[in-house]
Amino acid sequence: MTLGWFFLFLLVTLLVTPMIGTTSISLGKAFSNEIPFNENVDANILFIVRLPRILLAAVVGSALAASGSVFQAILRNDLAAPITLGVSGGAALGAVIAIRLELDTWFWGLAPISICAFIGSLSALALVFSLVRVRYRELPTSYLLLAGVTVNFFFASLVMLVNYLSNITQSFQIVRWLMGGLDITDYQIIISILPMVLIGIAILLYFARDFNLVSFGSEPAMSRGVDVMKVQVTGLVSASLITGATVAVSGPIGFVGLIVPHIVRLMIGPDHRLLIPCCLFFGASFMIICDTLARTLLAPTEIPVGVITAILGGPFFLWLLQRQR
Amino acid sequence: MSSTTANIQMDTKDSSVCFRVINLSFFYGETPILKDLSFDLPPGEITGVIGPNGSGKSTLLKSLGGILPAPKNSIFLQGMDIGDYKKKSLAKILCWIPQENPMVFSFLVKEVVMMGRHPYLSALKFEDETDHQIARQAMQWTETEMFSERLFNQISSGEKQRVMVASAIAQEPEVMLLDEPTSALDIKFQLEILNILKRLNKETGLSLVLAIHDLHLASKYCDQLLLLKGGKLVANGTPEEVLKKEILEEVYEVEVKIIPNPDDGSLLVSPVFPNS
Repeated sequence: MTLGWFFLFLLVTLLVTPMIGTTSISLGKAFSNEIPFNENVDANILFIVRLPRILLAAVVGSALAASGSVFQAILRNDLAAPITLGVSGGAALGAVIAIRLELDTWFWGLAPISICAFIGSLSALALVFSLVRVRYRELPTSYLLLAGVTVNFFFASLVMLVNYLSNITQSFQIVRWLMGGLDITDYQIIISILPMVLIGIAILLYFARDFNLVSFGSEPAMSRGVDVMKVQVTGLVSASLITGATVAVSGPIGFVGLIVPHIVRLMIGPDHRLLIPCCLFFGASFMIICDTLARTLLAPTEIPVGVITAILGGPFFLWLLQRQR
Repeated sequence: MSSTTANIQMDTKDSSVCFRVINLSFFYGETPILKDLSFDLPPGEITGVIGPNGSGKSTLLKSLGGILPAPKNSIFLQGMDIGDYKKKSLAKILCWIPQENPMVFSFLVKEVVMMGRHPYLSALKFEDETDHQIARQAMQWTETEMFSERLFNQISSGEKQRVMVASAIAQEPEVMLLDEPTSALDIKFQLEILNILKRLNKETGLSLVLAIHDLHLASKYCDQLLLLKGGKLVANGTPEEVLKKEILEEVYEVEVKIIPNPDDGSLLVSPVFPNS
């Protein structure tokens, strides 16, 4: 029932936002068979400019929101987010190195920046997990949190170093990437990251009930037959991988992974069997709306979508929080 | 020598005992917490684990509950090494309830109770009518139905403890392990929770192991007591056998007086105050 409303909201968002933009388009013309596609401006805007961007926003938003809910559950911390284990810091370092070295090797439809960003996020994840010493059938979550935050900071300073050593053009590109954006996209990018995102989300959904018990407390969860260690490792790695894949193509878009799970939890409660799907739908809608604002508010200039997510999401979340108390 | 080994192997297969513990030791890093404990717990009894702070009560309960890894061949549950159980099979036999329930997210009371059904559900499965029925009964046992729709975060610690017991009942275990279920509660809630546990034990034959500080309550409610000091088992037997002046003074390092309650024969252990 609740899930239906979230789905409906996403559906409406998906139908309405392609119509919004600096140029107004006519659906009748866009779907008309009489004009050849190459000469059909409306169809070009709809199918080549807007639609892939909206779909990418949906993929990125849902992946970040679902990962965020899982991070908060496993680390049992309200401030945990998909980037908590250093994934975004690693991605950023990879990306700026690619920009600085002006790499030009495409792979599987992905730009060198995206590939290096993904490798960077994998390295950060590996580094954080290599620092962890396991005790008694569960991960030391507070230690993981600290290690992740520290690794993120460490990589952030390396990013600044690389930025400092870059020329002005590269430096601009670096800053722009770090703000996050969905403006450079096509269908191939979506197809490239989709398998990993879908598999990751399927794994998270599979463990949904386990996340409920682990978020309640790891020892009570063990006593109820949950393999806590397995759930923690699989959950964190899957969530980090899908985060890494999306950050690689969109840049670090903050706030969505932190705030959307909280917003949804305030509305429907903390049962992950419902929370994760609702986060998928709401994260997608939220991201599409933010990106629509990003490309229209100051048109023809674009605002980086990462700026919008925080400006829009922050006050909305505070309002919801106030209303709850 | 070989005959002794054979005997032990015979013994461990004995499934008429609930727990058989043989030379159990446990270390946190280099520090020994439990030292060479051996005892049997018969089924259907209430066993109290008593001892001073830091004597290893919680660690013993966590080891028995499968929360902490016990060395091989040291804990046998119903004739099988506790380490050989699959996690969900173990959870169908025993349930461990922590002393405190810290929590971040706002689950409803009924959702917490329903978590007890986890070992019976496969992944992706939602609870069915049977599970709801069992959860309702568990809440009736513990008189928690009236706040089933409230947030677990927002009820009192006495109510939380009852909800945790309800959740454990929903798990349908044969053994329930409780780490100091009464220590954070006032006397009314202490009696409430202990009476619920006693009734469960009487009517369903559930075995109970509870760590408890209040020696009077221990003597009143427990069939058997394990007295620990510094990770060692000092005494093991009925309350009358364990709660003796010499033993307690040695273990707790205070002078005590044992006053039998004339009404029910329970033993009141009172410290002897220096000026009296």
